[in-house]
Amino acid sequence: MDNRTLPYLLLLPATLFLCVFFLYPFALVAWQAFTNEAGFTLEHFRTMADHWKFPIAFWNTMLLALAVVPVQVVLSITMAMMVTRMQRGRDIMLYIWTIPLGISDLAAGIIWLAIFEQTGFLNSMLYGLGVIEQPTNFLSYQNTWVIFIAIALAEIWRATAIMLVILVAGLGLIPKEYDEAAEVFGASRWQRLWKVTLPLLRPSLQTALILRVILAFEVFAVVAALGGTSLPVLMGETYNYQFELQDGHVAAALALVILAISIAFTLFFLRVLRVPKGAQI
Amino acid sequence: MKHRFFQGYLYPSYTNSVVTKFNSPEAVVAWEKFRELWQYTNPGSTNFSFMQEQLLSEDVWVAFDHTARLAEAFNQRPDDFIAFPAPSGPTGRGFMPVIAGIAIPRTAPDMDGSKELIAYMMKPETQLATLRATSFFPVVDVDLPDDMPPAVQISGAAIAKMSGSADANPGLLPSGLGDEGGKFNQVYVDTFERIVLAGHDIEAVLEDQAGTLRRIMEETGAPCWAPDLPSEGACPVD
Repeated sequence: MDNRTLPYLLLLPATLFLCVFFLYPFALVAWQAFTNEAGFTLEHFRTMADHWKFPIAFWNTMLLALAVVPVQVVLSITMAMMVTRMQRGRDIMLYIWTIPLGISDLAAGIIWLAIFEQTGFLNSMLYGLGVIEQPTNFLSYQNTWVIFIAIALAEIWRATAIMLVILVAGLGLIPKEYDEAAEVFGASRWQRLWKVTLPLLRPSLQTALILRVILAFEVFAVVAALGGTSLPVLMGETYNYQFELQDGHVAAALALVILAISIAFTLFFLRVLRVPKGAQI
Repeated sequence: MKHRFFQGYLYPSYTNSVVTKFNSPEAVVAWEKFRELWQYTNPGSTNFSFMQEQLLSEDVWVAFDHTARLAEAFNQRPDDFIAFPAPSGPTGRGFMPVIAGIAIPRTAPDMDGSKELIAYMMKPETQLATLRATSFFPVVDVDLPDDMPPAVQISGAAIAKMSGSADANPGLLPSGLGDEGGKFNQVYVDTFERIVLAGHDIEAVLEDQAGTLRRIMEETGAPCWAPDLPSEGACPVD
């Protein structure tokens, strides 16, 4: 086999797969979002933007990502550093921390619903401790910020591990010599973290952030379980248009909005966390 | 089922209409009253669906729902729950009976078999078996035997009282909307969420949602159904 054609042959199945199951459906969705019986139209985007819940859903999605992702970055870096420093039991710790990854997001939502609902664990605990006189309904439309916090907690619990796994692998790639050299020159732990480890971790951090942020904009099942219709998000509205309102055009328009946000943030992280050519390990 | 509550109970009881008087002074009164009553509801109810669950768990003591979605509560605790007719408003006692029609497509491959199936489905025994199993009441004239499950006996008595009342104002299920049915329901749910949950101004919301409703009616060309008066062509929204 010719050495020059082999790589392309090996890439062919994956490329075909992507074309059939990603590019083709994407073209169909884009077509659906921009056309009606008469041809090209922006009508579906107008319908989408005119609906009173669209701005609410848009900002809820953004704020959720903004609240969840930074916490996850800090948590996953801390956890990754802890795991790498461990002498024994490292694998067991990693397994335990990644258990939530194995649970579907809807199941995760239901677990947290069992904690927060009126007949849930939190109410029983507070009642048992004598803090409250009767069970309260935390997840009501009257205080959506509690629903927001519950969703943020569930998301942090569920999806921090995906960043952790990437960062643990990334930390393993950094040669120990840099850290030791900095230590010899008298750099404190804090300085070594900021000036040595984090800059060298940039490629993994970039991958982890892109993956996590894209997932954050697609948040759906956890919100559906905890918030129902009280806290609309973009993905929930997409579902509603497609299946409740039977309007695939507006659903496609919403899906394109989510895609546009995801692409914008991917480009942002690619640019901000890029590693200059000369600085690559 | 809250969309059905607005379409079949709230609007007919206050405006004697579902579509035509959607945005009217009478509708404003209806929503004012409903917003006032809402303070007595369980705030979690926006996410409830089968009210038998909340009745049995005692999250609520008074509930509105389809008889089939209440059956378990009556069957499990027949001595603890009662059924009562829907309340009446200024324009009568709105409620939503279901009228079922059965048809065979002209192109059906086995016409005789289809007719036999329909005849079987309409038999009193079949209707009673359906009622026993699902709490969906017979669509043909049937004498109910005495050994029916508690849910059937309790809700049956309330339904009979409601439909036999002097001020009964039955409204039909929305019809002629095709696959726009979901959007039609959404108009009522959006109106409720904006007025009652989000606290928006009633007149402004009704004005805005009436535009959406008018567009749906004109696009589908669906004529009015009771309690709205019959229309030539699409049911108008005033």
